[in-house]
Amino acid sequence: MSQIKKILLYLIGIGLLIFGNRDVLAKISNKKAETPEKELKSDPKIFSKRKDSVRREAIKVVEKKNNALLDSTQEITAAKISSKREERAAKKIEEKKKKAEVVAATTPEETQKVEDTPKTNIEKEEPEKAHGTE
Amino acid sequence: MASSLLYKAQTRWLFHSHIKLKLSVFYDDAIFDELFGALEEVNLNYNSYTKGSHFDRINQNAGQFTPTDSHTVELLKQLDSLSDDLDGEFDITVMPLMRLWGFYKENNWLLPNGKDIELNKQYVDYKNITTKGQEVRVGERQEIITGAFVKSYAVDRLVEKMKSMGISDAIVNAGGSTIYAINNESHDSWPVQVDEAQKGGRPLFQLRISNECFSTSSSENTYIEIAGKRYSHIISPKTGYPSENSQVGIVSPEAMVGDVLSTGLFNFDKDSFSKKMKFLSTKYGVEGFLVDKNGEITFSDNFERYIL
Repeated sequence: MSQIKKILLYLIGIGLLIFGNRDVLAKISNKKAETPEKELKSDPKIFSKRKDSVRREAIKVVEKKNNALLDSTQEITAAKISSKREERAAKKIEEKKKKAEVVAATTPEETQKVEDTPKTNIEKEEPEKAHGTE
Repeated sequence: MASSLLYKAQTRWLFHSHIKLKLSVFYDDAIFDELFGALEEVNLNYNSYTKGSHFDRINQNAGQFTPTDSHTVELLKQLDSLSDDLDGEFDITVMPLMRLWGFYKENNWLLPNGKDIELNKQYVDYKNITTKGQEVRVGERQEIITGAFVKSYAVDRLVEKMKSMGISDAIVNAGGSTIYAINNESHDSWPVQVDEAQKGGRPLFQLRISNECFSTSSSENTYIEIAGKRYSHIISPKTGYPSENSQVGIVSPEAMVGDVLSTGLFNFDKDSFSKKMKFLSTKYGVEGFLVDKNGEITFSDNFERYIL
């Protein structure tokens, strides 16, 4: 009888040990899982490190976006400048053309330009406009 | 009365002008190549600005006889006669004065002084052009300028060709300054709009011409500006100064005659214009009008019959 009691007690002991340890293990693992959060909240150094790296990442993203924006702005500005330059160049050409027209039908170096692809239009009788030498 | 007929029109750039040909819609487009070809031929052979043309070679060999062709000699004879009839107010050797006034320079236009004008005038004299058979010589430092007649000469040659091809209803608008109307019984005239010779100028009148040419000279598009004042490209060979008139219009049976007369008459005042037109109307069958610097219009005796 005493031996049976001993065995039972032994088994109960083992059971207690196993189940008790599971809780303990569970508690320990939970503690481990919670630790970083707790540490983050509780340890200002770790939190600040994390925050810095996140900030750096954010800054990098923002910088990237800024650069892209800057590039596109520069492109637009360059395009605007070049279109303005083109406009100015076209204006100058136009002015030169006008001056050349003043020199008129008379420039010895005149080149006779004939339109490459003349178009044929269908017209009715319309008054032809008379004016001085082109 | 306006015609309801349809026409084909093509415009090409030649003689420093937009040349428009308009003829019956029944013609094939290919005809334009042939007709413009006739103009190009004149440009190649008789335009003094075309290198190697008869007039270019005459100018290059100034002081020496240069072989040309029968057309060049005939042209010079006709131009000489027209210059005589215009009392020397039309002269194809006016180039030194044109250069002096700056029509061949870019910028730096200065008013020439009287001494320079007199100096250059000595080279302006169509009577110094000599012909020997088909050879032509201009005096040293002389230069023939074809700008005042070569385009209209080409139009005359073209009209001749068109008529020989049986084209009897068409209009040729050579840069607005030479407009030739070809008409038949079913379409008896073409309208021409004449406006004041200035940008945005108001309409003066509309003409109807038939188998005739309307030529006009004005400084509307061709002038130089010195110290804020405009000077016309038409310079009197006799005075050496640009005319102050505004516009001359001539209706004539031939394009070149009208072109030369309108240029020469641009240097006349209204009284001498009226007198000269009586003579020219009888000799060449022409009518015309002059608008002076004040905008006052003087008509020849029978010009108004063209006005609608």
